Amino acid sequence: MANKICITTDCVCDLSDSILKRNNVDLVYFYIKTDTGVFRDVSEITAQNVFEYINNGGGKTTTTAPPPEEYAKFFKKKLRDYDEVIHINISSGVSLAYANAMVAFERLNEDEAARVHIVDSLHLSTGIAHLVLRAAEMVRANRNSEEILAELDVLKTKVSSSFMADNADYLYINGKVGKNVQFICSKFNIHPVLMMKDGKLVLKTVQIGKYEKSAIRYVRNELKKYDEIKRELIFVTHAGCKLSDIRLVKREISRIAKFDAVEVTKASATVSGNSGPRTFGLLFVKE
Amino acid sequence: MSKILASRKKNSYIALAVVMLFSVLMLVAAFTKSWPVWTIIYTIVAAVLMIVLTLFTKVREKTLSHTLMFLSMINIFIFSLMQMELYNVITAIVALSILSTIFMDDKVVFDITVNSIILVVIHAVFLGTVDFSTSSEIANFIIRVGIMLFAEIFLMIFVARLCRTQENYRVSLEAAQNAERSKSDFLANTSHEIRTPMNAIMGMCELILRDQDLSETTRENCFNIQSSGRSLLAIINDILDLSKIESGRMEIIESEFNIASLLNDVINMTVTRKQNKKIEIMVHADPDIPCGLIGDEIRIRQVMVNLMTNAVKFTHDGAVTLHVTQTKQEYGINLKISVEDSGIGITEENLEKLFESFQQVDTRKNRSIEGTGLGLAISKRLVTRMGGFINVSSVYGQGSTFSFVLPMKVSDERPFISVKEPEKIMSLVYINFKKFDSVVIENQYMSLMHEISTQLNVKMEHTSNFERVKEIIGAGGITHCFIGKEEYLANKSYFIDISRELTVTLVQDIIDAVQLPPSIKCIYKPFYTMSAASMLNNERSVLNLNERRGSMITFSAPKARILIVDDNTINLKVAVGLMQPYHMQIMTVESGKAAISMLRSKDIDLVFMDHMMPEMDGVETTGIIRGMDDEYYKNLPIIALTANAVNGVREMFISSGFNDFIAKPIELSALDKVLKKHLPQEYIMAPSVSTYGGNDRRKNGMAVAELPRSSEHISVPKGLNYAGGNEDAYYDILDMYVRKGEDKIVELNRMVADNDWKNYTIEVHALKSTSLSIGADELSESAKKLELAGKSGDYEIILKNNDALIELYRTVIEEGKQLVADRNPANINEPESEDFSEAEEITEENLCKFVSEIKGYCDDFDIDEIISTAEKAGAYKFNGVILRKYFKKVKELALDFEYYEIDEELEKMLKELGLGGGKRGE
Repeated sequence: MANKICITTDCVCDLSDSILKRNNVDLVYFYIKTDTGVFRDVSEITAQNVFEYINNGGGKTTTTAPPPEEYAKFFKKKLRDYDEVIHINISSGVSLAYANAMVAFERLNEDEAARVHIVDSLHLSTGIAHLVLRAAEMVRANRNSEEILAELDVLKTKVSSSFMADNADYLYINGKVGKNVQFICSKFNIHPVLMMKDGKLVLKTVQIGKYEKSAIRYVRNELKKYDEIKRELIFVTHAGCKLSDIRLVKREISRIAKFDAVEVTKASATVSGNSGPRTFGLLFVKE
Repeated sequence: MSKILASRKKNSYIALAVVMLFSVLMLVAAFTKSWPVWTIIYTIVAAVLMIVLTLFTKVREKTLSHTLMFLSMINIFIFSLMQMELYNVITAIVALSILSTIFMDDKVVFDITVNSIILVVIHAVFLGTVDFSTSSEIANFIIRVGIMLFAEIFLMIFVARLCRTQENYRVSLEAAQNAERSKSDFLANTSHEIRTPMNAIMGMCELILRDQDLSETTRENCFNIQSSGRSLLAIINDILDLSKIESGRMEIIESEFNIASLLNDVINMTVTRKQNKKIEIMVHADPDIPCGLIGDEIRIRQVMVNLMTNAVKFTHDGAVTLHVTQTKQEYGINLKISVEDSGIGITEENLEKLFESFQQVDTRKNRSIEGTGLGLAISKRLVTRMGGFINVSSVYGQGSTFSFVLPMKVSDERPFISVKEPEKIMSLVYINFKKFDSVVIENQYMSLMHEISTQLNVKMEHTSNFERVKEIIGAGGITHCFIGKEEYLANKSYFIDISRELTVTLVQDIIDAVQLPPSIKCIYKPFYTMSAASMLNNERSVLNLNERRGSMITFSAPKARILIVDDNTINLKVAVGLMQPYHMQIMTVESGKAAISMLRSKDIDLVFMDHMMPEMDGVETTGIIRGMDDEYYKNLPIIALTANAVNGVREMFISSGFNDFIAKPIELSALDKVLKKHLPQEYIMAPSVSTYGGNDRRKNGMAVAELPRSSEHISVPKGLNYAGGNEDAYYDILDMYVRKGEDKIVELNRMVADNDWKNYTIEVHALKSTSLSIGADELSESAKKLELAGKSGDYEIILKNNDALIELYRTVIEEGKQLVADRNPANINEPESEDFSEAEEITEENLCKFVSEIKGYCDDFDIDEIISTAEKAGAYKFNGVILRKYFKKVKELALDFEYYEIDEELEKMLKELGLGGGKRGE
């Protein structure tokens, strides 16, 4: 009989509750620190909360990855009900979460350690979700952990994760760009487009002009090689976008390519706290 | 505004700096080119003048700008004369024109333009410094002067337009500020104006409900009035809350509270709201939440109740589920409250504007649902103020989940729900969850059973089969059995039988609850970890709704002596009525001064003090009391009574020496809490069984259904409305109003003569409310106008209209007297026609004895003895003169605590009876 495998991930995978439940995926939470307290990302605080907090003069927020103790506790708890745990982490290039999970892994005893597998996804947000959903699918298909891990190793190189931010204000607040860059972006309607490359978040390009037109151009650029894109699923993950923005993006996607499913999800506070409101991304898998 | 002024000042400094630079250059030129001395003198004098004007005087900005520019223009003029050159000067003029725009005054630019034209004419015509010899020179002149004029005209138009725009902004800003101020004033007035009559309505309702002989219909109607009153009050409170939050005046008062009692309150309030709706209220609470938390319990409850009642309002079938969870943090915990419903849900468009003020989304669909749409806006702001976050998720047509999280410190780490010796407990749940139409509810109940069992660490078995119940119980070991209502009714005798051996608890809805024999316990839904734990711990079941509804009086204190201070006799009456069931000894006075003199006896245990009173307000009175030379006055509990909730100044009251405060209309629960907290503990006794004596005062055979008669200036039906429909109470109020009237008129006239506008304003404010409460709208309206005049300092209006007000007041008093007399002829003035022929004659000695006794009781402030002696004495006649009228007056004065006037009244009587007065009685 095949081992009972549990797929887990970080809350920054930005999957909705219903998808997580459907795929039996459990989360480890990041924390957002404000002047008044420390809050669990996703379950206690959302991206919208963070934007409002900052806009209302609440000060800067800081993000903390789950500490090793929490990972250790989480793995041990899961091991009580499952034979093996595959935890898919946010990219080690953008967060300490993977390092902390590895510290927790080191603390497990030999038997436990043999049953826990930690994967550096090299992605964030629903870029991780593609890996998670594929892993969950393979668990349902009774595939063993080696097969799943091998598949994830290949898959993570094929996932495309990119975002278009409305401006560089939050990148400046978080120290990612200088004051001058932020000033120029805001004066000239420049929208930075960020992407995950080799596990790191880098500036891919910029879109200049009105937000709506820039959004359309970004979608077209991302999907221009749609022949090379798998059509099963594309995520539109956003933070603080208006309903009209999302409708515009979905309409543009449907004009370019036919996806079996276009899942709109909300980005966690951890992810969107870096890029600010009206950020959205297209996350898909290439052939 | 101060920012604008600061910016203008800054502009003047910039202009001064530039013209000073020019003056320095002028001086350099004067010295190097040996200009006449007067040019140097002028330049220096002009520079000093400009410095003095700008830096050391407070001349108007307009004068300053014109002077600066004029003096600078003369400098330029001198320069051009000395150089005998025009073209270079043109550049300086244009520069000066540009500089002048800093003052944003087109007239300054115009002045410079005119001056520059004069300068050009002088040079061209009189000084001959312009060469017109060739056509190219002429063209040169035209071009240069043309450019100068063009620049000046352009700047003039530009500044004029800018000024117009600025003026428009200023007007708009002023209008917006006025509107904001009006809104605040309106809210402040609304608070007082609505809450005061609401006090009468709800207070009188409470008094009526305490009447034991009330018919069911009247009781029901009265409940409806009270419930509508509460709804109205909730709306007012919502508006006031939002206004307080937006103006930053909302105080978050953190104190230790018990999560269990908070949860209980919220659930009870939600259940009451649910009424007959076919929805299940489910509660999932983490029992490990620390029982003692530190936070603003009232505000947390407000948010929870808002979310729960909203969910109940918008859910027509299915369930409303409350989740209470926690996450541990270094500073304590994050308390997370989620309310999930299976209601109509919210569309994505509406989700975006859900927390905005005055938005009740999907109004077409929710037309039948009451509410101001302020609840969520208030909740969001409150949660934010408490350092937390609120969120919503929803699927249209399926339901919504509202949740908020608050960071909290912990004062008591112990879990708020626990079971003693869980290992000894074996429980059985016999409820057929399939009876619910919804599978979701069935599943929720099943998971709830599992949750209770694991959270409390007790064995809990569930079955829907009666045969299985018998089997399990027959096998022995079961200590507790929870059963549903239908299950109980189907096998009543069996459960009564087994209840002798194990704890049988019926879980039922509060509506249509069945009566149970004493051996069977009962818990009302929602059935959840806390209610299950209370049963497993064999604690008393929760309060029954009818018990709660019937009374909130949790104790009596017959030894306690309470003083209520309020200038408004109607409010005094309401307060006295509300406190009656506590069986305390209640005294009332109508002014701060009277309160102070009353307190000299040092036998008062607690004082309720109105905030707004004429002459000496509550704050001032309390200050004087606290400053009195005895420990008693420092420790005496003084509770502020205020209808002014906008200023929400708990801290102000506390820092002014008050111990606590109660908002009007007085809420029984708040009153109960405050009394219990501040009365000496040794006075607190079990609540008395006897309730407030109902009023059985329908005299003179007045038919119940008979419509009350109004007069020209008094609308009795309106007044009756304010008195909660209680006719006796209304006529008592009217009688009091009439009796006090003449004194008030004297006071008002005195205040006008003394220019005592502060007290006059307070007095007409009181007249406004009391007149309104008897139905004298016109008088109330006139008083209101003079109150507003007093507040805005328009004393001329008061002087002009006071006489008319007094005249109207007198008319109302006369009409009031007549109305009271018509209703109860025996109750007014001298009953000339009344037959007292059978009254006994009293001897002079006995009459003097009565007088002496009453005076003695006055010295002891013994109101009961004064009244009883006055009643005895009033039954006699002396030398054929019926004494009733004198002693009736004595009784009235005693009821008003006017002890000194009783003395005067008795002296007057003795004089009129030919007994000479003076000290005969002593």
